[in-house]
Amino acid sequence: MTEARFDLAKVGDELPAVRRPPLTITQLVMYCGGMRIFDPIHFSPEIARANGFPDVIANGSMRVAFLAQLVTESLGPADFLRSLTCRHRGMILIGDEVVSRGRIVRTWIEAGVVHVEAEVWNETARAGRADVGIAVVTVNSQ
Amino acid sequence: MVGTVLRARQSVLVEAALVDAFELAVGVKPTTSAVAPDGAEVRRAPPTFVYHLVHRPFDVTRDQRPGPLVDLPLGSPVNGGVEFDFARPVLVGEVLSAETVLHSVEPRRGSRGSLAVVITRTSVCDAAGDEVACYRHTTLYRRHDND
Repeated sequence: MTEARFDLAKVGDELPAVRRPPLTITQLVMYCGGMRIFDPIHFSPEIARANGFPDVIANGSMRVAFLAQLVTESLGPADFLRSLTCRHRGMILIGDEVVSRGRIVRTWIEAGVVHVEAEVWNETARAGRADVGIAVVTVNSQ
Repeated sequence: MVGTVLRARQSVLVEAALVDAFELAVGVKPTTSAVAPDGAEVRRAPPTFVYHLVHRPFDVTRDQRPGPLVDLPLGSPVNGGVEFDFARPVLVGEVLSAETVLHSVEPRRGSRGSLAVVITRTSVCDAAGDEVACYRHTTLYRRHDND
């Protein structure tokens, strides 16, 4: 199937998948420290387990950022991510390899501007589609 | 309670060092750029960086999970998801302001008892007061009245 560029997008096209190496605690500590997120279930295995989680879990906001990355890496220089939703359906744990994928589901013109809608998701071998969402991009095809 | 300002509007610089940390941790290519009104090329922040302009108060003297956003007897939070709308790209080096308001609190019956579904709305504005982004965040809490 053709991989999408938003300016040439057709319904059914897939976005180029973003494949990531196994999630590390170093990665989560950098994210949590930089973004000032101090819920210890994101960096302490002991506290995560004491709160009922199997291990350290990835931040929801980082998982949303994975979906945004999937979209923005397919944007042209004048294209713009207008909206993004994300629902969390499963846990993403330390060591999981997260793959972000997406598919164009709709295109339309509104006020003379091309809009492209894609379903997007993060998947892992353990949890399947752990996050699902919808992204809408406006395209400047000039 | 709905409409309560949970985090009052405060101005925040979009710092390059924090955008660096975001991009490195997420694995985003730090190459996105935009053209400023004066024609200069400037660096875009990743879209969802605006998620992190407002912060929960935290207590560094104790290793514990943060308490509920609202003044109710609620259990530990579960992140239910988010909906973003973006009006324009956010640029590194600009000063934004953000405010979080309680949008709704609704009971829900889950498979393991009753839940409270708390939705907040955060508005992010630029120095001119124009909204550049907003997001609605859903948090699920187990209600202590299950116990």
